[in-house]
Amino acid sequence: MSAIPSSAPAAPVQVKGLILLSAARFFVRRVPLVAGQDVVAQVELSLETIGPFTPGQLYYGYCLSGDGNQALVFAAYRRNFSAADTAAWSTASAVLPEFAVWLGQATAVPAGVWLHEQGQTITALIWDGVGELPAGVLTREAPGDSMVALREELLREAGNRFGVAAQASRTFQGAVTASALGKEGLTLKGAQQSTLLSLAQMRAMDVRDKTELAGQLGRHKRDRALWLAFASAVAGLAACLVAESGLLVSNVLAARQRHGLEANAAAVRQIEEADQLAGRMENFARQSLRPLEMLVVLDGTRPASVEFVQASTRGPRQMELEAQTANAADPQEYEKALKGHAGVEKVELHDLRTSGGKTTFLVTVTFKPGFAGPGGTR
Amino acid sequence: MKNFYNERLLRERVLMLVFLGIGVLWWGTALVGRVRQNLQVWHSISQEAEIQRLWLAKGASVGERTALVARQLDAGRTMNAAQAYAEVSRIAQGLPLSMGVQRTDRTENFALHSLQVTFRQTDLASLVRFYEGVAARAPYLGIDQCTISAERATPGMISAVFRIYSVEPIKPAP
Repeated sequence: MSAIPSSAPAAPVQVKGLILLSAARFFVRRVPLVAGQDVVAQVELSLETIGPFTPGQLYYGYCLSGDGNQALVFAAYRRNFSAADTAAWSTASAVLPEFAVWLGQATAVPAGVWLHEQGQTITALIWDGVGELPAGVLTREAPGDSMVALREELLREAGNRFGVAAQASRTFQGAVTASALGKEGLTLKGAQQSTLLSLAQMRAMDVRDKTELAGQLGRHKRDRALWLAFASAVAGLAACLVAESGLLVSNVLAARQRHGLEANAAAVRQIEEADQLAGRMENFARQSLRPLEMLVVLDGTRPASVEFVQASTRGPRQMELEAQTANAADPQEYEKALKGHAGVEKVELHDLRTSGGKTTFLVTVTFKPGFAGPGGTR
Repeated sequence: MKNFYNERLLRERVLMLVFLGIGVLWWGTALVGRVRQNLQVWHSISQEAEIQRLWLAKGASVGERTALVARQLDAGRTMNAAQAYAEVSRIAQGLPLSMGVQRTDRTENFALHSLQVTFRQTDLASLVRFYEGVAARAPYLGIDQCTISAERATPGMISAVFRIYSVEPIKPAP
């Protein structure tokens, strides 16, 4: 179940921020998992068990089966990658093995061997009919033009090691490419194969150093947050600019509208004044103001101690009286007496003040229509 | 723009964001205030326009109303400002009065003149005589407002301020 390089591996393929590494660099194992346990810990434990290297010495990733009971673990020795090889990894969206395009099958694949031929490299995916993960991945590079012989050798080896029929059930040719990386995940395209890897699957398959990957994810999140904040600020600036222009136009329109209103103001004022005068004239014709008759009523109900200071009319049927008394209880008595008078509609006593033994107060009296008899306020 | 921004150093990106943020906040705050003010201006304009529209729509009926009031006046009993002044002086003959400046409000069909008459230190009987004299000429001459005060210094005497109105029809221009 391993991909054993037979010669120098091909250079990594970079497409749309994605780096695809040759399958020849990886050894691959399908390992069982205990459901409900930490997957990463189980994968690292399996790596320590099946290989001579600790996980810290490896670039590794894994692909989970749909039920979570199996994982295809792939790892490569770090020293097989030069600094030049890994230079571009820090800015890549993901670093995956090429055979990732064949993983993530939606349903169980029937037993057989899929061959992927690209240039002088053949990758064999061996399916044993159990689940949607291959039982193994073998990769060989053909020296010269011996592709046919290499293909037969791979099929034979697959038959010997995995017990599957020594013939290819499917053959694909051409390079693997990434067509899109979005919110829903990464779409990989092989010859006649297209696979959508979710973001979680993509991160699990990413072979980079896990600590660096976590740091990179953090940096990506920070950069994205910064960019979103900056873009929002720019959008805010644009909105301010639009609003400012709108305000400018609105002010011009408001000034024009105001000018129109000012042009009409004189005519409107004239109509208002005419209306008020007509109303006043109608009132004068209907009812005469009778201040002395009002005073007679106010005087007739006055307690002896109450002295009038000033009386003012507040309309055709209302008079406000300012009065004073030496007896602090008399204003209330006066109010009661006024309320009991047949010609009075309403009495309001207010502003009571006592100073130097004198109590001053205001009383507002509203008279009933016709209180003064014919000719008065009707 | 995204590439331009993301290619800057972190420090540069943060500074750009801070400066831009401060600018947007500053401008936005001032803008919100001015937008609110502008909305109030439009609200006030719209209210004023509606009031003007109502008054202008009412113009014809107000004209008819003033014309009706004018038609109901007995031209022989109406008084212009000078006549009202003379009439009030005649009614208050012998009383200590002072008369203020006259004011005239006009419509197309009639004018309403008003005159402030002040009595100081007068007795109630004289005031009643004046009052009855004015009341007899209502509604062509009448009292619009009245204030009567007791004279504290001289018991039994009072001061009074009357606003007297008179009405005068206006003949339409030929």
